[in-house]
This record gives sequence, C-alpha cells and structure tokens, in this order.
Amino acid sequence: MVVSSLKKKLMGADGDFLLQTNVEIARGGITAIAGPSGSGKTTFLRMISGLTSPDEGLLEVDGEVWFQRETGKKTQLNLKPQQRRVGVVFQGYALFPHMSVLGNLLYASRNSDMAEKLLDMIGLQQLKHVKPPNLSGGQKQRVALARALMQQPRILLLDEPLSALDEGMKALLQDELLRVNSELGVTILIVTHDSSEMYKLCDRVLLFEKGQIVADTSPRKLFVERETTQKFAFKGEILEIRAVDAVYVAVIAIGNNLVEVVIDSDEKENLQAGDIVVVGTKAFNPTVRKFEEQEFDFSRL
Amino acid sequence: MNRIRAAVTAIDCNGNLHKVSLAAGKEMITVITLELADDYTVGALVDIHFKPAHVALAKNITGEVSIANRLEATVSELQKGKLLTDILLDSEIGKFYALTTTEAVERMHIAPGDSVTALMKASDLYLSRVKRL
Repeated sequence: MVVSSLKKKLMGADGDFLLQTNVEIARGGITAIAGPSGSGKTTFLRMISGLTSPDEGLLEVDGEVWFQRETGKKTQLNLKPQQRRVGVVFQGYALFPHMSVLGNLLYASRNSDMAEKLLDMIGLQQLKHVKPPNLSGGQKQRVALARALMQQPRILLLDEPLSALDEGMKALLQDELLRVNSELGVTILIVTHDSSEMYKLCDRVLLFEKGQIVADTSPRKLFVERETTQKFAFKGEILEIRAVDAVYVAVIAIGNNLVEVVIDSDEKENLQAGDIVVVGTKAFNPTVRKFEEQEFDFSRL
Repeated sequence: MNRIRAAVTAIDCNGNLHKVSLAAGKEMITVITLELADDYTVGALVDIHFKPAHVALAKNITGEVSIANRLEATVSELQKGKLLTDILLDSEIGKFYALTTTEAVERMHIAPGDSVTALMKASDLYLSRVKRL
C-alpha cells in the first residue's frame, strides 16, 4: 500500500500551481498516471522515488515512512533514493553501454539468481552477453525493466516506458509488464498517454490536471462508458481494408465485435490496418431493434 | 423506422457488395448492402426498412436526380416541430414517414393532400427477411 499526501509548488507555463496528491494505492496493482504535459505526473513519480523533494506531506510505502514533513516544520524524514525500494524506467534507456546485459543487471544488485530469473521472465536469456548499442529499442527497454527489478522494488515507476516503441513491440512489452506484475506482485505506477495501454494494463487511472487528481477511476469508466453515453462513437482497431467495387470496406474490431464499415477513398488515404480509430455516426443514423436470440452473439466468444 | 414489404427480383454482386432489386406493388426499389445472407434469393419476401430522416421530398420534380428510389405519395399528416417536421405519407405500397426541416416544409408549402415524390438513396435502405409462419 502506498499512502501519499504530498504537496509541492510547481512552476507551470501559465503561472505557479500546487501539486497535491492525496491518494492511497493498493499493493500489487497497476495504476496509470495520466493527464496533459505539465500537470505534475512526472514530479509525482520523482517525489516517490526520492529524486525530487516535496514541500510537505507524508509518503508511506507498505507501512514504512519514506518522507514526512508537517506544515511549518522541518523535514522529519526524507529517505535517499537508494534507501527507497523503488525501480524506475523512463523513456530513455540509460543503460551502461560498455557493460553486457547481464553486467547492467548485476550493477544494480549483485544477485545472480535474481538476474537469471529476470532474464528468463523478460526473455533476455539469449542476449545476456550482448552490449546495449547492439540491442533494438524494445530490447533495451526490456533490459531497463529487468535492471529496475533487480533490487526487488516495492514500487516500479514507469514514465512513458513504451512510447518510443512500435505497436508490435509495445504489445509484447505490455504482456511482459503484466507478467512481471502478476509473478512478482510489484506495485506499478505508469505514466502513459495511451488509452488502449491503460485499458490493457491498468486497474486504475489517476487523471492529473494542474497538479490535482481530477479523476480516480477505472480505464473502462474513463474511456468506454463515458464516451459511449455521450455520443455514438467507439474506439476500434482496423484489421483490414479491402477495395470492393468503387468503395473500400474496413473490418474493424470494436471491443470483441468485428464490424464492416464502408469507407470512401479519401478516408482510406489516411487509414491502414493496425490503426486505432474512432468509429462514429450521428445520432440520427443508428437503427435500434430488439435483440433476437438467433443472432450471432460475439459476447459469448 | 419505416417498413415496406417487397419481393426480391434480382441480386447483383461485386465481392461482398450487393445490389438487390425489389418489387413492392408496381414500384421498383433498389437496395445497396454489404453482406447478404444466403436465404435472400430471387422471389424471397423481405421487408425494406428506412429511417424517416433518410427520406427526401420533392414537389413537381423535373430533371435528372441520382437518387435510385422514388415513390409517389400523398401527404397525409404533418407533425410540426420548431426545427423538424415529421410527415406521414400515403403511397400505393403503404404509409411511411419523412422527417425534414420545418423550414423546407414551409418553403415548399407542404400541406395534407399534396402530391409529393419521396426520394430514398439505395445505400440508406435496410433489408430483413420475412419469416415464414
């Protein structure tokens, strides 16, 4: 359990604002930290890791106080980053280029058993003697993840760790994060702008705006339920676009349903398989009729 | 949703795009649709469905119009709103509604008893199979 009631004055593009994080995060979950740039997301992670000092407040992790300063008093406690059991992965890889993958892991902690376990779990066993300059972006980010886990952190802080990767590699690393979370039980906080990533990984989203947590809910409530009640629009993924006659037909996965939508050549120009899209129509267009039993029910798949 | 009963007279396809020709009384109707179930064959009895908002109205129409379907009808009732008017039409193949702007109704002086032409695009029509009892 992470208990945070930290405050810090921040300088923003349009004036100073107060970052205030009164939140309790249960052990073992994956929480998304979302919100526009400059809303305090990264500072929140830095305050947890000890890289940035809060002005005041309390930070307690699994019953252990990491930071404490009451209003108007001197700092009572402020553990150094290396005293906090936190793993950090940022968008940049920050690996030691002259050390092998295994060397990078052992630099974080000289625990070869743990290193071997993580190399297996994150699929790096084949690459353990390779040096970072010879790795792809996705491989480097996996090494960074494994290294962050070497000290068996209580919290893993991820700041847009997958944003520089292509869709396929992103999906692979998302699966690995889920595995790390379930096998090691580590609490994960991830800064991300990607709503499908939040939907896939996270059980909770904290939405930051100008330093305040303005929404604290599930990804489903935030994206799916809200969007569909406001307008007839669904987020989906294009699986295929076929030319048919003088038009194009896109097969789109929306949730667990596959639908076919006719698109024109102008729309087709900007779309391709794999694209995440919004399928929408005006409120005048959809037809509504009673569900009939013999209709194919995708929800049973 | 409007419903008109019709019989399939021809089916033309290109890939999974279909043009279904139908006869409702003396009127010929064309529907463009994607996937079509196997039991839509020539002679099959179907219902054509269309939304009132997808029906355009014309009076004294001349010249060429690309819209595939035209039905001659008589205005039977008007339900006027501030912005939209729901118009009940009577035709040889049954009653149906057209939803249009109140501004258009006033500009065209549409009143009960008037003869109008209802225009429906082939891609705005839906089909459903009439089940045998």
